[in-house]
Amino acid sequence: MSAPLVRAWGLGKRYKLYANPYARLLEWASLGRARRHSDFWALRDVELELNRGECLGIVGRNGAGKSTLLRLLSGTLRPTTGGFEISGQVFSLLELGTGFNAELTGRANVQQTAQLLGLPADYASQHMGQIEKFADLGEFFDRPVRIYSSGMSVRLAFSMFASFEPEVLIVDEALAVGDASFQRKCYRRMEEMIDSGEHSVIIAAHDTGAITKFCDKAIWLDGGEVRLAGNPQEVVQAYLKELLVSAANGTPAEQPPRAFQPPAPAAQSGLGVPAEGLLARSRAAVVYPSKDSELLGVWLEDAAGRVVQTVAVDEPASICYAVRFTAPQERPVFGTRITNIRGDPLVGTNTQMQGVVAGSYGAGDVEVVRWPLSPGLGVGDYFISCGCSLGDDVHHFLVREVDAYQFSVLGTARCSGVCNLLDAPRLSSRA
Amino acid sequence: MTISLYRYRGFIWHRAITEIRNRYAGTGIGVLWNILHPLALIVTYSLVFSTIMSARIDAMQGKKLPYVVYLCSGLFPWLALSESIIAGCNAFVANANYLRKLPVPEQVFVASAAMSSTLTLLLNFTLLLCIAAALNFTPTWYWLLLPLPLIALQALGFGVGLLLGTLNVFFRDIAQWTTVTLQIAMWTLPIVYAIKILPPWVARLLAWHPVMPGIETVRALLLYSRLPPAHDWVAMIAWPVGIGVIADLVLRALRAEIRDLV
Repeated sequence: MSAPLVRAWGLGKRYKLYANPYARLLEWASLGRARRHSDFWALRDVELELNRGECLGIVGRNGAGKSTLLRLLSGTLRPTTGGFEISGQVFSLLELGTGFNAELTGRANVQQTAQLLGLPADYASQHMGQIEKFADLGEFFDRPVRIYSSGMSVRLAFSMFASFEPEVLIVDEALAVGDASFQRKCYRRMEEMIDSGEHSVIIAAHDTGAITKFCDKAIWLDGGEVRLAGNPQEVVQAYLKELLVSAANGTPAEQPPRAFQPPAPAAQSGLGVPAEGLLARSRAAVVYPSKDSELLGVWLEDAAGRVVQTVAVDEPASICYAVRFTAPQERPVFGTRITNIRGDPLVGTNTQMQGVVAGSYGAGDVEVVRWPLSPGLGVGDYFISCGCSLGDDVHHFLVREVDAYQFSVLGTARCSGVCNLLDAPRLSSRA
Repeated sequence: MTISLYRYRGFIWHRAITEIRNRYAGTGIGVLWNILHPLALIVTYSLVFSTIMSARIDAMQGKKLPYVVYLCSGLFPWLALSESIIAGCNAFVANANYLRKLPVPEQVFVASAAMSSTLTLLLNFTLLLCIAAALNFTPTWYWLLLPLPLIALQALGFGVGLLLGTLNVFFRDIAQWTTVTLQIAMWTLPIVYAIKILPPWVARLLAWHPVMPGIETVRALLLYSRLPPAHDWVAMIAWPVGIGVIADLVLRALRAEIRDLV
């Protein structure tokens, strides 16, 4: 067993916050005796170990310390406590553009960055062909970076760093900017690097699907500390669960404005609404409340009818919601829609289209609607919209919440594209 | 510090050249501006000081020195020095983009700023030597020593720029103060006027000034074709080394925080 490629111990980063520059001057003048700053610990006590050929994923909310950790490892920040060891070259794709000079061409920027990284003089020239080919920028490669789109900058940056073949490649959220096919190419390239057994990759991503798919290890940073470390599947699941729970208890600023507050779900448990485990309203939600009816909650059930937070890729599940009517209604129509993270509607349907006729409701009646969901959604994040409209005019909504509830499909990816209509194939030779 | 500067020599050199080449990018005559600017400067100063303020120049006429050559021998090193200091002072803030994303040693940016003004200085001095030759100065072997004081002065500019640049990250007023101070400082030194018009005690005091030994050395070599006194050599080298060491210590102490703030 060789020594780990990356090792960090007790890694911490403190920022000193001063009210103004003069506060710092006073503190300096008193040789530190008059303390004029407050401490902000962006990262505390992070332990890491990564071997050659492994991929580490980092999840966490904005401000959890992901970027700080990556910047420390890439050497652009200096740790306050602890330390780290990387036996080899580290290149990092942080934020956008990675320090390009806007006036220089793509080619000249590659040269300059190689120099800035302290690489030998002819290093960039040797790899130029490969970089140009991978970045696939056409004539833009010889145009100033100033006119690049953000996607193009990322393509150039990724191509450059991947071609330089560092022992450790650090990739921030940056990849999310590129188009899908380029992202695919990047992941394939990273896979190659990992599979070669010579390199390691560290990725931080909001795209938790990528982390479960690529990484051998994951850590979840929360408030600058490692909340959980280990198996990517478990870490991601725990992280997503926490996200949903905390969004439900979120501060008012994080929640969309609402005309009126629905009653606390726990109080409704007698009406067929689960006491806990409801999906939290997402930040992308567009809510159209009405005085005729209200949505009591949206949740997921697995095949056995248990309330779950995420859906397993190969398992059937149900999307459920409860509507309470505040005024009598005759044969209303219930509808739902699933949208992926890019906003493509995957399916939208309602009781009328499905040939289900609802009954009559008096004020205070509650209906629980369960939509069976066949396996077929790919691994990723989805949004649920749901609502209820008048029987004689489905476009007249009594209540409607668009892209209001988010859930994840976890597991092994079975397909590309928007959803999977195909089951596992049968091979005649294996029959 | 020196080791990392050596390692990044390629970048420092490349950037300095690009800086000079791009300074007048998009202009009709391009690189020629690098010569026209100092020429215009020389003509202006010469006209103003030799016609309007002719009294002051008499001090030198005894030695039959063309004022132009006297002026430039002090003015060019001074301008390059203050350019190095001002650029060095802004180096970290101006290159925040790189410092945030790449693990480059901070001093590299100050060095490339100093390098580009050194190149301009050498260019200007070549121009000056041509003018001097045209004014019947006979080139002497002493001229070959001229790069020594010039480089010593630029090393001083690098040291001061690094020190102020480091502090400027924390107190952004420093860059402004530096610009103002340098403008005033020029007129306190015998650069455009002769040292003889100053009271003798001021002249003695000036021997300790960080900049004067260098400028005096340039003048001794160029104008009087003699070696300057030993104490000028010592002071000329001691200042940049001393300030360089202080700047290095300050940078080491504050390095961790520089990256937090740029």
